[in-house]
Amino acid sequence: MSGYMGKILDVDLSRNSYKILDLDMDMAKRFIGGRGLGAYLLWERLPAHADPLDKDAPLMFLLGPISGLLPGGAQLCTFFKSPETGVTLCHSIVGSHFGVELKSAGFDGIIITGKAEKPVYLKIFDHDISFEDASHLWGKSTFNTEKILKKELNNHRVKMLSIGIAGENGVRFAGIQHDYYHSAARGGSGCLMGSKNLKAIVVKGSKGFDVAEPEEFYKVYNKIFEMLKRARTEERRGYYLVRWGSSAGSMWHSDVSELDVKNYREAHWEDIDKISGFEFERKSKVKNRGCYLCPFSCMQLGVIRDGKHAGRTATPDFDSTSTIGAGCLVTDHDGLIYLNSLGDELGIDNISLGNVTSFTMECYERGIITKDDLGGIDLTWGNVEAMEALWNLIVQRKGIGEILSLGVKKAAETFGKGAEHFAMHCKGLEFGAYATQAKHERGLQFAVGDRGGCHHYGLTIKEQNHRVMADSLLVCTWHRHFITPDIYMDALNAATGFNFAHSDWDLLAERFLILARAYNLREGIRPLKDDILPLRVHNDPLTSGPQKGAVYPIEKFKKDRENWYKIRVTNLINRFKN
Amino acid sequence: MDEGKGYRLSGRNMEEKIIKGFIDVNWKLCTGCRLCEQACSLYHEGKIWPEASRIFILQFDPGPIEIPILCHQCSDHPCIEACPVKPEKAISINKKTGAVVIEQDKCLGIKCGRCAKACHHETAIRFHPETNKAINCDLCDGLPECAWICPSGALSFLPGQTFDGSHYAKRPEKIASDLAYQLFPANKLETDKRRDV
Repeated sequence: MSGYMGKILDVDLSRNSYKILDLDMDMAKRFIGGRGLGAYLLWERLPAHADPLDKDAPLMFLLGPISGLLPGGAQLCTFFKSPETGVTLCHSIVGSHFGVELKSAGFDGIIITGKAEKPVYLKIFDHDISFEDASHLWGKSTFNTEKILKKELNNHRVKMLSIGIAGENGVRFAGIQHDYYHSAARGGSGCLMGSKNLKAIVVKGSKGFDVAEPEEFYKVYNKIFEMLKRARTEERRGYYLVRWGSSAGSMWHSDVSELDVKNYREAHWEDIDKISGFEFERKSKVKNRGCYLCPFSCMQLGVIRDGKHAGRTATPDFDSTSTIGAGCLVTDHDGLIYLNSLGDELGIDNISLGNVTSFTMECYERGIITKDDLGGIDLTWGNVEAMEALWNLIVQRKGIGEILSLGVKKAAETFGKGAEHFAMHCKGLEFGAYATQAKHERGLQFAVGDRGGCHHYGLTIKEQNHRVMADSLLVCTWHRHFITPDIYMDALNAATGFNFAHSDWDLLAERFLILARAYNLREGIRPLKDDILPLRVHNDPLTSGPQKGAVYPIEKFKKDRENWYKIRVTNLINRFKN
Repeated sequence: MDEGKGYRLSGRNMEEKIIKGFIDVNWKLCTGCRLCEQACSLYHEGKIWPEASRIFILQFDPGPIEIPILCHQCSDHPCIEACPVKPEKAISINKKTGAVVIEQDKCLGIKCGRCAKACHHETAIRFHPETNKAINCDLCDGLPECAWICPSGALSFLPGQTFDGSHYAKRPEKIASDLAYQLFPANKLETDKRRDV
């Protein structure tokens, strides 16, 4: 067995039992791992139209053949049917060290079904697996859960995934946290994990990794390492990732008018400098932290140096600070860093949470909801204290938090009074921090993405293929700017002994994408009815910035969408012909 | 460890001139990426095997911060003194590199474990996950791979033996708490508590 470890851990929490399954290599060759394998397993294991929070709904943590083996291969893919959208499949990727530790314990994935009677955590020390009582951890934040478990196990090398209070209480967009600041959060993985009464998964492995053709593999390895190392200083994206992390991206997204500002009403913000990566470097940055084997180490660890929250550490990146920052017009840097860290601590998807918050702010501004509805919170734009108070309601699911914890789609349906117009989601998943009035390709991406309003689907056909392949091989999608598909295919072949041609990259990618689309079709998603954008994108032109007046007209959107279907279908037909 | 068993990602070979020295650790710069573990295990084991690496990263709060741990080649060698193997001890100094090396055939393994307990660092000697024999940093026979691969500059090879490596060799908890004190000056809550460690 090379590349893969050859085992999948199949856990049934209802019976407190587990099986160690052999990885079917034919299946592995067809679906590789991560997002590809996940779509297949979800199709097989969950009956059509099942409730995403059904106790037998699987929550999968999947690896790929080259994850843990080369720089960038630190990712872990969580795969499940999304409790937030209720219909679509969902994957959520988390980096750092859990993936490699799981691989080193000898597994290519964990499939969790069932529901534990009382809170448990799963302990995986190589093939020694146990279900441990987690009553003392229930109600604890993700940070405290990590601290307590590390202390209890007296091990500074264990890696864990945990959920916070949001996941325990069933907030639909709750996430799973790993290593304090890394999240697999989109689509509600934490909600599903919480519904299973599973507080955490702790893993520690001691196995080494074999590859099929070591000489060849380490040659490719070295090439990738050298390319990334060079990119640290010589490539624009590499340099800024190392120095400021992705949160600096909010500045250039604002410059080209594609940043979520004020609940996607605007796309350019003159105050962006107050909260962006540059400001973070000046005020808070302490050091870089990185995922396993990555020479970039783009996670920027910082600390709030004074004020109410002095001493609190945080690791802001673009995704986790954009919708809660510019999206809610927060200009207080330390406040934003605090909120960012608080979101991680509560175990919640900061992207969706920011959307929900800015949506609620707009509802409040427009008088759709009142101060009384909000339990006395004066939820004005940029009010950090009010945001924190609202978040507490959301994670506790109290008062208006009960409605908001279901996401903007359901909240807009409940509020009515035209709130749907600016409920920024697609298929129930909130937008991923990009305003689309001026950048139409970003709008199209949100509309056609398989997990909903997801900014990781890819802007072009090529990027979509690259992203789905990266998420299946489980390598970092950021590295797509530096490493070409051919190199990854060489690494895949050398690691596993498969004989894929370079051109199989697109074949595999299309297979995974069509499978995901087929799954959504099976669950009732209809392209023309559901691949749509909220009305704000079509009807609310930008009022400031270089792209003032820009809008994504609905006719153009429909044409773009049709064009996209055509390209995808033509590609598919050509595949069958050949 | 036999030369040629593993892969040198650096591509260097033993024809290069070996200079005695040791690996310098700048804890502040460590990102916790563990490329060092991987380069180490590739050289010593011939495959990626983080758990069999001679250098390893521990994670501490607050922060979290990562601390690389490895043998600093102290001159008083408490590990050698502690080794009970007779007549010739299992741990010795390699004349060429100056590194402390453990002969795997002679080592009694984890059941003995006296060298690990004697270590000033308390953690620099660990046990191989498969053979359970003591393993430590042997400077990759003079050309350390971890120092070569470290992209952040946390590890570097310091030629010459200017001072005693034992100055590095503090308990990891102590290193972590000092580092946290330095990095998070406002973090009164956590660091003050930990200063006493």
